[in-house]
Amino acid sequence: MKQITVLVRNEIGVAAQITSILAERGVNIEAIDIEGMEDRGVVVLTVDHYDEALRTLRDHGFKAITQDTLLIRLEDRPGALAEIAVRLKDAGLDLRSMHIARRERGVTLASLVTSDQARAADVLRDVLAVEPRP
Amino acid sequence: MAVAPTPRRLPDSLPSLPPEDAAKLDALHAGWSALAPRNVGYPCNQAFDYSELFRFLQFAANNVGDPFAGSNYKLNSHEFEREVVAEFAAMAHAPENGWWGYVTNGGTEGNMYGLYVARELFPEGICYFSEDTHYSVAKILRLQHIRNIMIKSAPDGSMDCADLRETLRIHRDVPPIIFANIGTTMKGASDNLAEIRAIFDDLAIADGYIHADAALSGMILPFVGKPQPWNFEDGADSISISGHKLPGCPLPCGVVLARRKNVDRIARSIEYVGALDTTIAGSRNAITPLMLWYRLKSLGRGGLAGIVRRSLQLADYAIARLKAHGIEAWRHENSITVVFPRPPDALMKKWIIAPKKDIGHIITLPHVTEAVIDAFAADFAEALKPQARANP
Repeated sequence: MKQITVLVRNEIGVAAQITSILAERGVNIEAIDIEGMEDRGVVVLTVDHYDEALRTLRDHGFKAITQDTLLIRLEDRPGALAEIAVRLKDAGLDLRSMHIARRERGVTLASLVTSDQARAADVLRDVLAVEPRP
Repeated sequence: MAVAPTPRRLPDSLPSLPPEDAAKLDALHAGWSALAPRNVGYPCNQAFDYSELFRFLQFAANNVGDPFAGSNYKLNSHEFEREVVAEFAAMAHAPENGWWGYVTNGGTEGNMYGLYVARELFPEGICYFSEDTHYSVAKILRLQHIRNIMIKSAPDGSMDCADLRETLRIHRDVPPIIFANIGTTMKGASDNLAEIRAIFDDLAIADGYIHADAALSGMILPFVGKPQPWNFEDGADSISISGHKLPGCPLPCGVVLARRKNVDRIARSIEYVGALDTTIAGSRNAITPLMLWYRLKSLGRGGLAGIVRRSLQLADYAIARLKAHGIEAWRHENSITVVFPRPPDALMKKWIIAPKKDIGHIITLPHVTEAVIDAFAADFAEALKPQARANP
């Protein structure tokens, strides 16, 4: 089982749509968590057929973030992402990439990839938007 | 006695297509013919005629290698490619005798080349690029294993220089590689090269690199009165410009330019692998340099300036027409990207446009005439009516 995070509009029926399209492709959902953020939401799925689930979500226009990426939530202000990079550097971790996934109403959701995702999750536990599976 | 060249003919025995396959080709041609006038959302000038060059399609031409270094493969158009690149270099104010470049497969290869030069110069560097950067850049960064941090965009689509400054302040020990958009894909915004250079100076950053992605605007800004900073004189270290966008070409192509001293350093480093050719591809297109050469020669700078003038006029016309239908529309200065709220899906069934998130746009190149704009604006307004939205 692997985890996928999906950024969605916080509209009625979005979760039902996701579960429905995945079921049509034979993807079994083990767990699903939904969190609303103003008019946007985050859906965290644990699925069996990981690649097929990613393909399905992509085909239906959803923005899916894989388990290989950490999702963090920060205040939307200049330099906020850079401070995260410093925390990782101070912990001896190499930051490979950090991209803004969504930015609205004073909050930035960013995805990042480091040389050691498990340790990075520990270092950034206070800002993690989604707790990664062990 | 001179011998007249024998005209080349295809062998009589060359097999022809089965009727069903020929019909399939005919259907594709008909489909493209119908769609082309409604291609308003992508920056591809369709007002061109390259029929004089069709005779060159009978050759297995190939521009493999550095266009300035000569090639054993004589069926090439290197001489024409050099002229094309030199013309682009002049328009980009490249330092005299201090530049190098070649004709690429399009803007993305040019961006890949610029970032490649930067990465070779600063292997430990971090690339900074804005939220509004084209998605292909993330692929290039991953391909080249370049560390990267995304910078926020200002609401107008340009790089938020306050965020860049704070980020560079924290990472000033690492050489920055700035991927600057000179005309973003969706809003036509330009990152401010002058301000980026000023931030380098303020933070005493001596080692830094700026690549400018000027895919569309790189052929607009040389022809306007007050261009945004974008060229080598303004601080760019490399520039990628598309050939199929503003000039117009049936085959994707572009030009990449870089400072000669930086390219020479790469050439020296790859000498160890036995190749002084620093172009990215092996086999390279020999036809697109011919097409760009033909376009530059037949239009001249006056003709290119005319395309820019016409496109800007059309942009203002489109804004006026959309506003007349109650649709808010705007553009950046010197941009031919007309931005409006995301249209209903019904509009995209008829028109080739590329909305993203909450906005859409049209690019008013010369084939997007007043008549096309009138029809588009009318369809847009119709699609917004409550009845149309209820029954798309």
